[in-house]
Amino acid sequence: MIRFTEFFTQIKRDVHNSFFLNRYKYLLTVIMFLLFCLYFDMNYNSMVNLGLIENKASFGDVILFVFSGMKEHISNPSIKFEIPITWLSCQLFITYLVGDYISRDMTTYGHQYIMRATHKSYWLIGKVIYCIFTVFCFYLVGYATIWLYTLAFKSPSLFLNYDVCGCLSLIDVSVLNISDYIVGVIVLPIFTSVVLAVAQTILTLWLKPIYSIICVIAYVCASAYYFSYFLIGNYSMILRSKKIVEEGMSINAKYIDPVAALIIDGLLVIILFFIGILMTRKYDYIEKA
Amino acid sequence: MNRFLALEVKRIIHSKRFLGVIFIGGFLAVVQYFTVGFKQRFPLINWSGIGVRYPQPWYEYWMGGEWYSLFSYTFYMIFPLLATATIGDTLVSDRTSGYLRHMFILGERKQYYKARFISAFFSGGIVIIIPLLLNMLLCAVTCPSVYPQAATGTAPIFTSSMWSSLYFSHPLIYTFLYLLVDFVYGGLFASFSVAIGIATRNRFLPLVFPFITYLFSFTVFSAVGLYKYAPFNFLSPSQRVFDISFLVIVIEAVLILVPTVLLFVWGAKKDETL
Repeated sequence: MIRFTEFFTQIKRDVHNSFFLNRYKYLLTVIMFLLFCLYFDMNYNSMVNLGLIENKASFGDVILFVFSGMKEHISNPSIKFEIPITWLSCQLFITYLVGDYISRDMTTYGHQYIMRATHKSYWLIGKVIYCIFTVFCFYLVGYATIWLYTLAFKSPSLFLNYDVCGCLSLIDVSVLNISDYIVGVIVLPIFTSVVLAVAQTILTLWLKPIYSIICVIAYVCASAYYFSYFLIGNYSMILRSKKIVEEGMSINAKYIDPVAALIIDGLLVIILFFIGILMTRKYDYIEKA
Repeated sequence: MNRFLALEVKRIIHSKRFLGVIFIGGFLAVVQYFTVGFKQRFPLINWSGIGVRYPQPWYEYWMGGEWYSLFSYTFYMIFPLLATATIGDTLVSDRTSGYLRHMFILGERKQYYKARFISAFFSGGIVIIIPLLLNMLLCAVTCPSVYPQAATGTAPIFTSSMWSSLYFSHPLIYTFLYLLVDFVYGGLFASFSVAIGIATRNRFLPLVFPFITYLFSFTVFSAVGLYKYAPFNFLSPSQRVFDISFLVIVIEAVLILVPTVLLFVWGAKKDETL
């Protein structure tokens, strides 16, 4: 029988911690996104000076620039492997936000809760919800920062300018409709980050937090390097999505289908949760504490 | 201090994390060798019908000498995490467990903190150097050790790069000098993380703070177009960007060293554990 009071108390605590414990880290998030805006501005101004851009950049253009990712990398000794700093920093900073919360909770308050709780799964659900809220807050703070920047210096609309996106994000926005944009630039990056955060949390049940962070960072770098549905970092790069790649008119081009990506992300969260349940059942809390 | 140093060194060598971190670095080194270096072991194969080509020396495709493989990128991206993982949070955990009190009974606080600094520095440097040396040796035993040639266009170092004349005339000396730079930076990151542990009670913060600083510096300098100032770009012997300056490397090392030393001095004076 589900005990709603016990369940909601645990969830409430984890939601509260996702805001309260990370409040200073969200300040760093603001600084990071301001740096992204500065980076955008530097590139935008150089293109304007070259006469390649005429329109004023919008909020939509900046969001697309920050989260567009990179095209499929072709391994070649003469081509330096570089991951776009905006995409990479977002993924790596989330590993810091998620941090060692589950490990710390397991040895403090969570330890007492697990020993006394009717359902240990409530505790794990709370941790998954912590990951979801942390990622949502991160992206919300990021979007708010970018919106304020565009309100002050650019145009705060979601309208995508053909020349700005073409020069800076290397995307032909005429092939995208509003649903492609929302799914590719907003939904998939957030959802993929949630899956990575949950994976890091579940991994921390087995490894030390520092090792789980190293694993996630290596996985993120591998996602940028290799194109594969098994490397879910590919899902958060709109430059690798179906419409953008097909527009490039390469017959054998590989691409990510956004619908398939959403389904796989959803399944992964469920699978990771059940792996976590199995691990918490076998976990020796008393010895570890 | 020698007694403390011996105790700390013994602790580090026997710790599972020290072995774990070397294993991670070694794994990256070995996989990089098999995906990049191993393919170069037959250098004189007929190339595109043009004939025999000048063999590519191992200096151009060992893990530190190239900039196009995933494993080289990943190694230098997790560089601070590898350096701090062994010892970063030990001061915080020692304070919590009461181990620090026992140490202060055995000798002076100043001597203890000096020993911690030295042991942290060397542990951070060693966990960085061992995978690089492993990869270097793997490449060197199977691939040619001829001089790199600028005319082949395969070398990652250009005339405007730092120590370029040394790279083309004495590549092994160049490589070892750069390994020394990586050793020093690994040691500084590790000491810095232990120093953070003096000022905080959070076990996780000392482990990740150097990495967050590293990532932020990469973001900041990329955002303003000053790529050569980011440690991620200048720590790799392949020099990921142009115009890297040794002065910048030294200044940034000093910028890490100064707060580290100040925190250790402050900790030695103000620690109220006993």
